[in-house]
Amino acid sequence: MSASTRIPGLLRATWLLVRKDLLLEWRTRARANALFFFALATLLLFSFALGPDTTILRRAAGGTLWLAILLASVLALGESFRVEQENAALDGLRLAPADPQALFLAKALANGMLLLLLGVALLPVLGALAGLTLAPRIVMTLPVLTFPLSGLGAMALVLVLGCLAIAAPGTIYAAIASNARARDVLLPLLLFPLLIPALVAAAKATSLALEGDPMLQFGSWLGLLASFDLIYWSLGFALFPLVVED
Amino acid sequence: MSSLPLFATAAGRIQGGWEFVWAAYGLTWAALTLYAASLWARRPRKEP
Amino acid sequence: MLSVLALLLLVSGAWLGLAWAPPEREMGDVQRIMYVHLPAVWMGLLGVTLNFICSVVYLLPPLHLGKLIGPLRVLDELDADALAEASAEVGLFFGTLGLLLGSIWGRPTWGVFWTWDPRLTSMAILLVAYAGYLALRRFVDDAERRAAWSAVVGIIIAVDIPIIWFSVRWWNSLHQVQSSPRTVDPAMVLVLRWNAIAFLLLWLVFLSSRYVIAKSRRERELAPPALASEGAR
Repeated sequence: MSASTRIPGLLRATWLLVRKDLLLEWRTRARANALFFFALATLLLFSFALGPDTTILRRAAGGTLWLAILLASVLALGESFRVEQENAALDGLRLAPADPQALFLAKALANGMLLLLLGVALLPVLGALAGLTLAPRIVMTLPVLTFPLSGLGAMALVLVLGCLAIAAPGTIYAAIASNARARDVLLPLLLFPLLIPALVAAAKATSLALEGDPMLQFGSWLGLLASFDLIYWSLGFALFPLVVED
Repeated sequence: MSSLPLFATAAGRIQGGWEFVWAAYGLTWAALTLYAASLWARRPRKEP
Repeated sequence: MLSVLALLLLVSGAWLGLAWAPPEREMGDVQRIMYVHLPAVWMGLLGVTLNFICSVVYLLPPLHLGKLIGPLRVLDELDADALAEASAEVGLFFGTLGLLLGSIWGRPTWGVFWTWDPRLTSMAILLVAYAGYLALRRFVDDAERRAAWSAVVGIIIAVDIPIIWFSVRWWNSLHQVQSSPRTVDPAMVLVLRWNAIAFLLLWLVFLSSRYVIAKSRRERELAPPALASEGAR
């Protein structure tokens, strides 16, 4: 295929696969519901473990939110390949004309969207549990320009970038783990150390979006998160074919 | 945390602490020996 | 093996070199822990580096270095996947040892067994990551898949190392920074180098031994079925 047909072809294949996955999710939305309640239960556990003092909960809110999302992601990611696994559909996908790279983009995007939905649903719950409000104004400092964001806008950015950060390496590791033994342990064991920088950045940025950012650190943390996303989406794109090919 | 300033001189040295030194070297030797033993035990045997 | 003998000589020589008392400084005798801690950490990092190189090499088409320069032919015959496995395990061993030694060193110097110092923290994350790498290798039975997937994971982890380093440094810069000892005394530098070389030789011995183990297992797994069942224990 010439270059001029390759990228549109890739995007189209990706779009079709994403649509398939999202349709599947919608039809079996019981799973997404269960995921939400699992994450909710996690938030409750954290609240009980950290104590009824809302000051502590408020300070820990950023970390708590992302830990809940991360723990739920392990289940979500594990499932995303199990469907294929159980029906040996992965082989079917592999034989189809679809690029493995389109497969990666589609899976990772679908997973990312699911996690984003989860994060959006969890935020008001966390807000209620910990008595949170969004900061009125966050100043975003990029290398070339500085502009103000509302607390809500800042939070939205963190959620999107953070969920993307989990989705890319998570998709690769899920593809690997789904074909290995002890897959339930292997996925989190591989994923968690890798995601520590993203967790740190997302949690910190979330705290800033909630409590305000007097020292103008928000841009730096977001920059770290964005770099992480860029690196791992590229790496995933390049390496995923090696994982699914025989 | 240590009460030593960053650029302490001869004054304010940590006294003794030999038990930590022994612990460190003992751990090192024990670990090296154990790992060497595990490598030895796992060596491939020639088929008869 | 001759290397083992040379090593024993060097390591015991190093130990004597320590009882030979390099002069103490602010830290007193506790300083001596550095002579095993730093080389252990360095060997851990060396293992990690080698694992990354092997992972990349495995995934690339064969390089045929022997065609460029004759003597490099020996590199062509190396089994990249077996070497990756060996370097990961040996690196994990030395890294863990180094981390524990750092912890022991920290108790009398800083008063605590653990701080969220960027170096210690990054090292700890790294070790957990490579433990995961080795777990992956153990849980995949097919030799070809194991090699390919390990290479992918090895690259992913290695790429994360600088990211981890920066993020942890940032994260902890909000708190205090621990002072680290400066080695200026030439006698101390000598002892440190002596030990470093001793550790390096040990690392090489362990690595080659572990490589042989990994390579023979791979050969058994990749052998044609008839031969494999003949040779199976």
